[in-house]
Amino acid sequence: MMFPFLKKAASNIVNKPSTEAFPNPAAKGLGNYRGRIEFYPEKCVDCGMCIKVCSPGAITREETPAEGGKNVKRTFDLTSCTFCGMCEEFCDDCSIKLSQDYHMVEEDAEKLCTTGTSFIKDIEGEIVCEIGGCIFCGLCMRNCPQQTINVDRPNKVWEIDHEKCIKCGICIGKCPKKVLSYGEPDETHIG
Amino acid sequence: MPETAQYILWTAFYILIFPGALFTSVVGLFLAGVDRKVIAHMQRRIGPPIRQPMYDFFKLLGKETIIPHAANKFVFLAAPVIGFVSLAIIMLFIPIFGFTAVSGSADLIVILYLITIGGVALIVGGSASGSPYAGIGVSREMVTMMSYELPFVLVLLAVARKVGGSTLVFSMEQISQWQVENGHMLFQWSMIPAAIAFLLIIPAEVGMQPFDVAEAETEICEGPLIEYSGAPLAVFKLNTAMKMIIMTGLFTSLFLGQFRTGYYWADALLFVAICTVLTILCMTTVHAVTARLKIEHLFKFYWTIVTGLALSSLILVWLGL
Amino acid sequence: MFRKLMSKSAMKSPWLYHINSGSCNGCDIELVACLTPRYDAERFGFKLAGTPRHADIVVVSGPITSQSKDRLVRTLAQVPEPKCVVSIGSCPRSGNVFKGSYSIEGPLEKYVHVDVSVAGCTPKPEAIMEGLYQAAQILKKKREVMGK
Repeated sequence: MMFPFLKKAASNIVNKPSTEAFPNPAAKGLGNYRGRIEFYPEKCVDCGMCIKVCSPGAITREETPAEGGKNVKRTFDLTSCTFCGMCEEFCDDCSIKLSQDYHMVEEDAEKLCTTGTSFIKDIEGEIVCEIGGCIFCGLCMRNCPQQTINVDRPNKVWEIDHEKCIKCGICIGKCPKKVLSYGEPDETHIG
Repeated sequence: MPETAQYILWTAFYILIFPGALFTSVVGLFLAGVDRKVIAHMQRRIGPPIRQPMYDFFKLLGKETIIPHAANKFVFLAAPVIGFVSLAIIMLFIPIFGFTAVSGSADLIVILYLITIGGVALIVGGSASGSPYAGIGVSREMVTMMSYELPFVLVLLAVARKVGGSTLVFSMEQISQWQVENGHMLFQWSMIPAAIAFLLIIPAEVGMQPFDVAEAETEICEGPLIEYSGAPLAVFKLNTAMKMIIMTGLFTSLFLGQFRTGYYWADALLFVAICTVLTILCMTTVHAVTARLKIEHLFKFYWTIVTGLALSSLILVWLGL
Repeated sequence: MFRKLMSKSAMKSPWLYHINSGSCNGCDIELVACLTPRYDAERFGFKLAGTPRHADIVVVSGPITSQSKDRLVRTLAQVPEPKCVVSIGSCPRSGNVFKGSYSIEGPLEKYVHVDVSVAGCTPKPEAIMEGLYQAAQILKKKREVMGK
């Protein structure tokens, strides 16, 4: 047939248009759609992993001293974000979530930001490891956002660089034997 | 003296309001809107409202008019107006069934020339704008005009011969009168090929897909219109819309001229209704189901198939059938 | 009244001109998706124009590479007033992952005031539609200011 769409065009006049309503408040992203970033500052421990993995450098951190700790303000610049979801994946505390909200339209681009201020308490002591309990599995080393811990399994060595450590406490949570804690190094604890 | 004044007033009314500028513009924009609405439905879309071309027109009037340095200012601005005036005048010669504003003995030839001026205005304006894209568009517009002018003339000749019998009659009023006596021209079987050829000429004359090679916006950035903005562009868009009513109207009075209701307003309404149907039939449907042709395909199509149809009709008429 | 009609028409018939300044083609196809039957931007009068002279809304996608910068600036200068600039995606606003590259001359804000920003990488067609719709409202305001 010379005009294969003639029949279709004629039948479409009778059919209802397949156009969606606009604005359509019910419309949502599909199951794993990654949209506007949601940030829950109360869960954040300021490990800095999100900033490290962000490829366009959309996340900025601002620190102000406060009583008994510090206030850390995180800004997620949505006009810079690629919505890759790496920050969500690497966040140990589930404080970052990429929602299914895609309505990110603003006349003032400054408004296209997700911000949150989290209070980080000052912590007494350093990360220490209980001798004897540690099995040198290396999970703490692998999960440390600052790469401060060094574990050498064959030689049974557990080391930490206190200068680099930001005391986020992720290693404490990750330790399968629960031998890590905050404290001062002594004869039973190395650190 | 009052007779002269009355005559001048009536002429002004004809030119400016009823079959002239205002009527042609409004109905043309209405037809353009119908075209856009229907094609949207053919593509399962909702489509713009029917008054959308009017919004386009008024928006363009409110835009800044930029005149490029390379352009010839006077010709650049005069071209759309010349096109508008010539197109507004054509409608005076086309009888709206019982009503004819101006009639002479060679209406068809005047119409043929005035329609060409509409196309030539585009060519002149495009050439004056000094853009290389406009140059390509202008050359394509010329080829398009050459392609459809030949079958167009043949169709008009066939009609003139059919009405005149042994001579050629170019008077629209006589053609109209002949149809009242002998029935629609469309139902004279020797004229059917000519009618089909005319229907195929309409989209090229108006510049609709698939024959919009001259203004291919994805290819040569709207061709002759590339440098136009603001009010001159609005007038050019209006000219395109006016061509729709003129071409469909010409078909209606040449081939479907038997209708008479007895009232001028009812005649005009029926005329617009038939024009709308023709627009949907020969412009919207063709646009919806085809893609843009190349310029050499267009030329070949018009000089073989369409010319063949028109010529066969002319030969049949010449033989007295 | 004529002025009122013109400002109303400015909102009802915004024609788009799309500039791809080094985009990855993601935002471009989403913009074209707006014109498909499912989203049908034409029902609000949106139409893709072939030349910047016919445009009301200039849609910019891409991080503005040094090759496209010149063309972008020249194209933006050709658009008659009132006009509106819409940025699609993260790239024109910030450079996205290309930020800091030697071949990027962004952001777009350096060259022209961006009226509406649509964020996302890439934004969904609904979001683009929303952005274009907002831009049309801005066009009306600009036309009203121009008329005075």
